Amino acid sequence: MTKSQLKTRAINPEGLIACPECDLLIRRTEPGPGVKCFCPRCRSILFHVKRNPVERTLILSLTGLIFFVPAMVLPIMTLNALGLEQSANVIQWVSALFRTGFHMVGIVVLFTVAVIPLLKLLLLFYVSMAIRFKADWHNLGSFFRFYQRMDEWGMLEICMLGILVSIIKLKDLAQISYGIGLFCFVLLLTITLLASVTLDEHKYWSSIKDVKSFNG
Amino acid sequence: MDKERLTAREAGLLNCLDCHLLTTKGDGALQMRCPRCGARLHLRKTNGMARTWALLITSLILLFPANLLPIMTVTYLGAKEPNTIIEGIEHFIQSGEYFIAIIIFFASILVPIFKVVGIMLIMTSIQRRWQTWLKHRTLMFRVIKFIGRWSMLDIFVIAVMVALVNLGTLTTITPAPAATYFAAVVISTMLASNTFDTRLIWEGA
Repeated sequence: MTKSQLKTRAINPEGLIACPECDLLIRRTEPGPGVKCFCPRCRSILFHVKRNPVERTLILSLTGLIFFVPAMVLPIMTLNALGLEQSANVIQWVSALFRTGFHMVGIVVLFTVAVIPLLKLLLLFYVSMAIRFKADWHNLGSFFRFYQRMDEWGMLEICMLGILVSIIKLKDLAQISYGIGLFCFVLLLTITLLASVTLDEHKYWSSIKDVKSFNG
Repeated sequence: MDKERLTAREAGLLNCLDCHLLTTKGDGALQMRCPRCGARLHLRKTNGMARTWALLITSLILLFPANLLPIMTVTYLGAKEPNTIIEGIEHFIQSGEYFIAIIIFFASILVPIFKVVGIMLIMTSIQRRWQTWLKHRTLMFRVIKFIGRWSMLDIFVIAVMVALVNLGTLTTITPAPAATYFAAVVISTMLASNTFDTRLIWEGA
């Protein structure tokens, strides 16, 4: 699109996209799987076409949901010093923060490690199911939008690094044994990361439009 | 910059930041919503500059208690020892865990400061209408946005330690006031990078 064309006719948004980071208008292309498209002006990633994005994301979000509850309620690790023992799961991290009077920190941990990761998996599963089976379910657009906006507030991978740092901090103080919860937590984190890697947001949005037109 | 290039704003189009659908701009009397995903449409994020400045100044103020007050208290055989973030890093250096010391130093001290100062620099450059280093400033913002959330690391370390080190009279760890301030710094800097509109960097390019 050029400025000289603008003078001669009104701009029809059909077949065009705008860069979300610099607002440049770009002609839309339909590249094959594996192709990454960058904005020619600011180099932001416009879209990244993935192979079988819907099926893979559907399976991954379902697997993630299976591991979610064990990762939250099974003990992550146990501390043992002079015969005294203390183990904790994710829910107990939050309750310990509440017990010591740090409610705000407790709420932050509860949301970033439990509530938002769960909501993200549920929303992804719901939207992927609807797209896979061409079902015209309610609020697909709002739900997927909600997923995208919550994405960065789920912090499982940062929490994992936090667990590793605490292990190093505690290893001289006492004996640590790892619980089955840690194993489930690592799986949940890996699956969540894989789901966001296989997710093709561009494809999802165009499918959400198709689902609406599918049923008139 | 290439004068032949056209932006969505110049073409009278609104770009949905959630689903990236382009819509023709109406007469402006009504609040427009995206026909595909229902998000509110704006030419630029509402009051982007003012909101981002407010959140950055909030973060800057909160950075002081977050770094100067103790973030956790270690009680060992009845003796209380409050620790600030810096003292925590010193402990790691003394015990020879240099790698962990560097990670904590980056996540808890460098990143929050770099984030606040970095976005402030970008905002100043927009208000002064600098037309250079556009690509670099956009890239800098992208990096800042990406690394910002990793500052939450210290909060998770505290959560794990407080729950686990609760061995009655032998030793306990409890959070200290800086924990709340520090979590607030991370949240307000994350909100600041969400209210900031990178398209402002490219305005008039």
